[in-house]
Amino acid sequence: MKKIFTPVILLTLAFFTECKKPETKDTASCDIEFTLGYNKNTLQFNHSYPYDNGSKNIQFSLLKFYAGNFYFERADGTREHFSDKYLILEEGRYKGHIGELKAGSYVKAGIGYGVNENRNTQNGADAQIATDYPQDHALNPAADMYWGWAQGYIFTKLEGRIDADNNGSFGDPNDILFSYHPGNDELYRAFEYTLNFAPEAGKSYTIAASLDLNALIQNCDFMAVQFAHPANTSGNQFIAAKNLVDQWGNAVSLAVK
Amino acid sequence: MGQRGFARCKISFYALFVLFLQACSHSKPAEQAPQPLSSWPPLPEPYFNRYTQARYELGERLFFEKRLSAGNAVSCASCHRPELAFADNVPVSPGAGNSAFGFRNSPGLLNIGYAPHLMAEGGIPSLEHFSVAPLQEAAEMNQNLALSVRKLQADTMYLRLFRAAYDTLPSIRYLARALAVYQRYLLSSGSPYDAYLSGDTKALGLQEKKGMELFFSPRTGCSGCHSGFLFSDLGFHDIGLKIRENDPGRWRLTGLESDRNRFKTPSLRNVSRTAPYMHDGRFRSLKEVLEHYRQGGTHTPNQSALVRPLDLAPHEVEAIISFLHSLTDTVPYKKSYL
Repeated sequence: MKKIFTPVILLTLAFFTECKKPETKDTASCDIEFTLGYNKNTLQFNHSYPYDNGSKNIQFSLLKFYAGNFYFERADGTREHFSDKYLILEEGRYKGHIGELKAGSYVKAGIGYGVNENRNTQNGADAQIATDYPQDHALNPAADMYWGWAQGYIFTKLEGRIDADNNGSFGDPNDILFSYHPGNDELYRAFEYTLNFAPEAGKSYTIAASLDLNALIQNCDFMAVQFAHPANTSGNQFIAAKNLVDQWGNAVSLAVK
Repeated sequence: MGQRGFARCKISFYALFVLFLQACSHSKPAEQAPQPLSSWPPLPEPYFNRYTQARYELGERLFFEKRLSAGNAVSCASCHRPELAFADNVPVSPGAGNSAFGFRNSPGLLNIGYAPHLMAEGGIPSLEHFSVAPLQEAAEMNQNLALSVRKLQADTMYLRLFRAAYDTLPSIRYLARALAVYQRYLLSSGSPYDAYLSGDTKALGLQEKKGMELFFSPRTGCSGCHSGFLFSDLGFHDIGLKIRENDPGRWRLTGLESDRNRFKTPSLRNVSRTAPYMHDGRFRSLKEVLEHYRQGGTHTPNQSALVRPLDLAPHEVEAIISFLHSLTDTVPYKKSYL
């Protein structure tokens, strides 16, 4: 009896396996990678660049930020959204996976910088306790972007120093350290970029995002406001941080690799 | 022994065994949460993080765990010392490795479970949100939570305690939750003042009673803010402290000029143990605090109308201080696992 059963079961299994409809994938895998530059040079951290029309030198030591709530827009205005998707981008990790995008033809893409109001604070519609996100989630405090005492997230960390007297040393009395950590609902920014993109099903793509730090800090006066960690919308720190985040649109351009 | 006798013997043995098991279960730690004083309102508790003895014990271990800080230097209890009503005796406590200082005095944690918002500016809505701030803050414990959890996962004691408390491995989520359970149940256990309220008229001396009268009188207005069973309205007030630029109080959170220099009213329970005083520890003694109030503050822009010059004789000041001492718990705190 055993001798009969085994081949019958195997044959049945083989039959159903054959009958299984082959999966047809209608999506493409989509990543994004930011490349940092300063003017037209590749940016290196802790490397000097001219600042304030060349009257000073600037060095960057940290740029870490959230990008998320991506979307891709077709010529007819319809969109594919990757809402509630957050990536942490930082040195050594300026690349992340957006998701599976429907094959087709797109003309624009949108990126949100920061954590939108639905999740940023406990007042948000989708808010949850930060420590409840899985440890490897971008919104877990382990990402070092959660602003514990103010119950929201730091959207961007930009830190560095300025050689104010342009003598090549960054340790003189007039030289400064700067630290900009914008992070409240009023400083969340979403920008739309031109992107002609025709992903084909089953293929993988990387959106190349060029970020020019010189453009990002264009309206920042680090000599005037060196520390901008605004948890509220009043005062110089808020204005300084706003001057930074307003430039995400101009500082980034997109292409497909 | 006949068969009947043997059967009787067997029944007696089982009965004794059942009684023995019952006795054992009674000697186990109670699952009932520590209770606040009977005259107090019930302690708010989130449905997703209810008290169990195992959670409390885990939270307690974590509260005293130095491995949660950079270089295994400090624990929560380093700055929130049980013998000092979970406060500290320096104006500003050093962080991990003594390398960094914040800018605020370490507040007492007793009865913190009743607070609807935490921190001096009120930016944190619950104890479940709370622990992240000091654990990762550079001037405090200065360690990424992922590293803290890795340290805990390497310790079989914590593997066991997390399993018992939350049926899971050590994780960031349950680290924060266990600390919340422990801190929620740090309750005052009764002071001479509480005994007096319960009918023991001898619990307070004449001096303390005189101080109590002054404290609750419109003449001083102390109880205008230090009200209720916690001796705090849990609101935010500018009490006319000379402004120091590094800490704008609740303004930091709201940006409203009317909130500049306003800080949460601290509870006065156990205040005799929590010197130095004020959000930055600027006053070394209750006498200095009373002197500030007696002078009527420094006339800051948002100074509360309740803070005005007080015509108090030295012996009246002493009486108020005596009353404040009577708010000190009589039962010392002990770790449950010692």
